[in-house]
Amino acid sequence: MKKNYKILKGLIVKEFTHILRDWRTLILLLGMPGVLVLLFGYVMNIEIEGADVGIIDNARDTDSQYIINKLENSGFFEVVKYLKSEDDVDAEFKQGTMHMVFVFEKDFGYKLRHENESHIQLITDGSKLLNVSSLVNYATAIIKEYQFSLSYQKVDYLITPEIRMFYNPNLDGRYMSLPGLMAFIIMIVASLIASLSIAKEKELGTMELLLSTPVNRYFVMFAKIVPYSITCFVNVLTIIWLSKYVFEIPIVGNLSLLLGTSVLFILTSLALGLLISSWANSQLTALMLALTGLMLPSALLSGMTFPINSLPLFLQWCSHLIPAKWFMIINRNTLLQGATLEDLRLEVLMLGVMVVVFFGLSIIRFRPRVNN
Amino acid sequence: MNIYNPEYAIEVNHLTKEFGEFTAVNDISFNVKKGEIFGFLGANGAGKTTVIRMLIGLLRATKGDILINGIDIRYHVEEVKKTIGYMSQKFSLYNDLTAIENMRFFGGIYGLSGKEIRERSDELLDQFKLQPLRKKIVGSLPIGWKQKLAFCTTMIHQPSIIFLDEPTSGVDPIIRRQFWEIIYELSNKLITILVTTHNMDEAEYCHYTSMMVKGKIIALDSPLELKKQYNAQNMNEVFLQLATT
Repeated sequence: MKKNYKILKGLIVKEFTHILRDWRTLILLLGMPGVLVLLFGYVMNIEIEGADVGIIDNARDTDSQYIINKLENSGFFEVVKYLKSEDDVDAEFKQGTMHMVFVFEKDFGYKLRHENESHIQLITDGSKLLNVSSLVNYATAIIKEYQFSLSYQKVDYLITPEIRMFYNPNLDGRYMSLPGLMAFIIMIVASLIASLSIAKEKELGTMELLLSTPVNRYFVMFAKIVPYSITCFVNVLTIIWLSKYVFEIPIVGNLSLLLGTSVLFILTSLALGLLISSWANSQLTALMLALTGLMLPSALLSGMTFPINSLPLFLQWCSHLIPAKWFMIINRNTLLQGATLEDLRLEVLMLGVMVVVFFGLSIIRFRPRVNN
Repeated sequence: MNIYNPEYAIEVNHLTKEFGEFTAVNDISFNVKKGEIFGFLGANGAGKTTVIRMLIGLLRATKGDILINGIDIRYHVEEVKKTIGYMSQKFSLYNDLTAIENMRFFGGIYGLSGKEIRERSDELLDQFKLQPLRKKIVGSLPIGWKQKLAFCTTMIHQPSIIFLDEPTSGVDPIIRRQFWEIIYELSNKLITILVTTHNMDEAEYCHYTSMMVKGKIIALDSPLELKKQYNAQNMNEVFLQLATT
């Protein structure tokens, strides 16, 4: 027993030495998640106070003037320039002087009052994708508000905001969030480092030497998991710290529940990494498998980029198999809504089942067999 | 049923290994006496490495028996692994660890105590004249020294049988000579050595040799007898005659 403990300790010390000696990779492992979160976080939380906008007012009546005033008073928009025609928009967008232009049609007020319907065109710079959708939402809300205030006086006036996106005409509602990003980062980091570390030993032949010794193969696997779980847990702490203190996302829920489920999710990801390495005999193969087999599905089917209920039914079913999806639900709900373990029974159970299944599979597949 | 002959360190009977349709090792039998230096010769792709992998328990035989010190490897592979040392064809110590860290790690894996590892590694580093490299990162060493260190590490748990798969490929003549001096020393201590090589000068140094061609052993005798039998000046001629027929 004591002997086994010593053998295991030797294996774990060796893994730690590998990690610490390769300080470049270590910096990458610990630093990258932070950098990614900062990048994504800032892109997502762009302050829309005082967005620079342009106006093309073909009507020049009281209604158009009223809406322009409302836009300016809202604090979200700052009118920097009145343009003559739509032909100027492209140049302005390219110079970056404004991100949005409001076009009032000719006889805007007249049509509104006599035909009960008139149009405002909202031209936006689609290349500034993430903040543009919120700009459009704010602008639409302001226009609707004005419409309501008119309807109060008389019957249904209808102002239809027509939204035109320059450079990216098919803007879909984008759905990104820090919890999703956290699930994604942990999944990728954990599965990559676990699979690469074993694939490396296979590639260099040290695995063959290791397996020619009487060492228990489960010990070899366990020794890989310990240091990498710790690395990933540090990543979780970094991300939570950044979300709380840099992005000021309040942590409503129970922090220990979040950390506990994070460990579960880290183990799931590491188990997937081990499973990948049982197919891959080289680091390159492991990398390719992890990228195509885990990164893409985790990004597309976890709900991080697209809301799951907007996916085709078949893909919705597939998404149940993506561990990141379950962890994302858990950490979004605990972080932002204060959900308890009781509320998240299904999600935690799913992760638990996945840990057992993936570890089981990788243990079955991790044999002291070597390729020719 | 095999009756164990205590004279033998390795007994191989009708060993066969198939990979799907391909028969890599085809019904081979040989015995290696304790303390013998057994030269396991053959062209590239003849199946030597496959045999060694079966002998050390990395691959399962399709058919046939292997007894290592009288222990059947099929049923007691862990027992067997404790008593053997293996140096693979490809250099495979951890490149990012120092010489002594590698030795400590492998010593630990074989369950040696800290004290045993210290004594043993000092002894080996002295014997192999590697003390100056003790704290060097292995990856930075030239190939000859790496091979010496790999051999040295193979010895950490005092195995009674050592398998050396092309230990001297890429090694200069001075280090090669040191290798063989150590191999003879070990043999004098009744440690059995099974060594593969492409260098027929080295084959002359072996007590006994086997020649493998396309998965079969086609000659099995001492170098002296083989040379007589094939009317050859040296082992190189023997090899060329056998491998090209």
